[in-house]
Amino acid sequence: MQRELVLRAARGEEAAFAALADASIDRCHALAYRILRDHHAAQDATQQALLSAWRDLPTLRDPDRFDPWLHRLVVHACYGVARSERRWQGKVRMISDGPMVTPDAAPALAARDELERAFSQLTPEHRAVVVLHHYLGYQLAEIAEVLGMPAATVRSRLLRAMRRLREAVEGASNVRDDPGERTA
Amino acid sequence: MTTIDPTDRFIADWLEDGPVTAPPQARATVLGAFPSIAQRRPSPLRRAWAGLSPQLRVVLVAATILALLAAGLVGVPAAMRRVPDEAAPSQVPASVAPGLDTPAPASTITVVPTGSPAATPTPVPLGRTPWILVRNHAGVGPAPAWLTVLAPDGSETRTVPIALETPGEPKVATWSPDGTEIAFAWGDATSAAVYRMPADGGAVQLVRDCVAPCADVLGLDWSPDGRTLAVAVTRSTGGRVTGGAIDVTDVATGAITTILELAGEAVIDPEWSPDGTRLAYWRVTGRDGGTQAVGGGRTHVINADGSDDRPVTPPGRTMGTPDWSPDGSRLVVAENPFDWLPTYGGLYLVDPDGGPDAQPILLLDAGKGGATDPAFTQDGQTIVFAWNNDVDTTNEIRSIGVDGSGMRTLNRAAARSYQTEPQPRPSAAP
Repeated sequence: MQRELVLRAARGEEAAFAALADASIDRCHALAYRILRDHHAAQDATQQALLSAWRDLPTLRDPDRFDPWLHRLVVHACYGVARSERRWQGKVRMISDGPMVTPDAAPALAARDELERAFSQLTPEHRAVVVLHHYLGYQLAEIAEVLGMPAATVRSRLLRAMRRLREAVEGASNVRDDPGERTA
Repeated sequence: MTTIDPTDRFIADWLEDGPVTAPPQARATVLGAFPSIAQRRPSPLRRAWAGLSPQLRVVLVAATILALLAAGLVGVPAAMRRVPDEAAPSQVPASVAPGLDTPAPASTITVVPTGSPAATPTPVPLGRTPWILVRNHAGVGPAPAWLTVLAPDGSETRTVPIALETPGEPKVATWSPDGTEIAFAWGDATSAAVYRMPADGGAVQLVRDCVAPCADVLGLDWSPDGRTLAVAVTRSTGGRVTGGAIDVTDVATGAITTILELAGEAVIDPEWSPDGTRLAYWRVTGRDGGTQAVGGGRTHVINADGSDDRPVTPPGRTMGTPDWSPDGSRLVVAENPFDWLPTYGGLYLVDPDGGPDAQPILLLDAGKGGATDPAFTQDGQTIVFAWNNDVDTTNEIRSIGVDGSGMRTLNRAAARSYQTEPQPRPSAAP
């Protein structure tokens, strides 16, 4: 079914692409949000990727590879958005206006906070590998194909990124467990 | 049995959190905009070429070159010849472009290819609603380039694709007085040119180039009579920016009349008065001819013929990006409008006839953030501006009443820019 839509859209059939875009946009946005961690930036990247997909669809050689190809466009759009947004990032952290934190929930929230911070300090390229592997479930070889890079590079990026994220989570746990920290 | 590390599980759960559906606005933008974008269709030759093995490609290229050499259809490049080329550049008629055997076109109006000739852009229906034009950071990476328009109440954004294949991105843009066209400057760090296109996208026409000593385009405004564009350009010598100018450019012919030429200062954001007799502009003094401003500058008003150029904001304060009220009695300006200045500032109302001694009226104390590029709406009761928030680093389009009341956020996603402009221009409002 999707293959047929891809072929028709590649021939310029607007209804076919509208159906493809409608079916794909949620996953594209979910992917973009998890790389960029910002709703508006994710929306920009999603729109750019899907409009690029329409423009470049006639160049897609294998219609069965539409999803990985589209995810590649999303990832590259995220790189572009992240670059254009860089000057706005990293100065101050967003302050959540969510509900008050109960004592029981505080440790987990602190770990999540550290995780969020560590993730935001990764490059978009490292974030993309983490999200493609741990959120979309791509294997390393598939990520290598999607991103157009050697599998060894994907592996080293993933290991490095995950090491930093684990350090952040475990560091937050250690601080929680350290009585000296509590009374400091 | 595989055991998942608790930390990895924690990270995976954290990744799962977040939206799983796209906002309706994104869906509407994509579905509304894509039909206006021409698809890239590889030629049959290119498709066939891509299917060949690398070895076969090498053989084919070599055979082709040998065949052309044998037939005398190609020669050794002049730079590789031992005997200098006798055709000195001075012997080439001025009307003949180097490397061409036909005269260069006299007119500067050119229809720019819009991608696949088979794909006719379908206009995006914008209706007659007075939209606000926002310069977009499109053109980033491989994405298509477009401008974003925003409904005055912030309820809807639309994308106007730019059918240009020249590398670059939109720099500045302006509506035609009747709101049916958009003129925009397009280029990258080293190039710029001014184009026009239908307000809902479609065929793009070159209005004018920006070639040395013109180095870049920093502002653009369509005159109320629709005949000319005020174009703020920088000047360069030997690759170094040395000054700025206002070029009044005929929209139909591309003919340029320079009404202001500055050395060591830059011109940003010229704006026609509603009656078309004057221009307000931001005159910036700084290093490198003004484009890397360090000291900021003042808003000036100048007659359309270049006479009576004078500042209308106080000395020692940086106030720029002006816009006229629909009746021409006031200017709204932003203090320290851009992030390369040390601090942001608020919005002020200025008397365009008052001169530098007239005190600006504080409209908005920006506080922790910055208001940039304000613009009056057609009724003159509201001002729309871009807002850069230093506290949480967000960017927004906001509006505020001319009495400083009722500030509200119109849109966040579209505000990755510094330009707002109502459509049509206030002077053309019924």
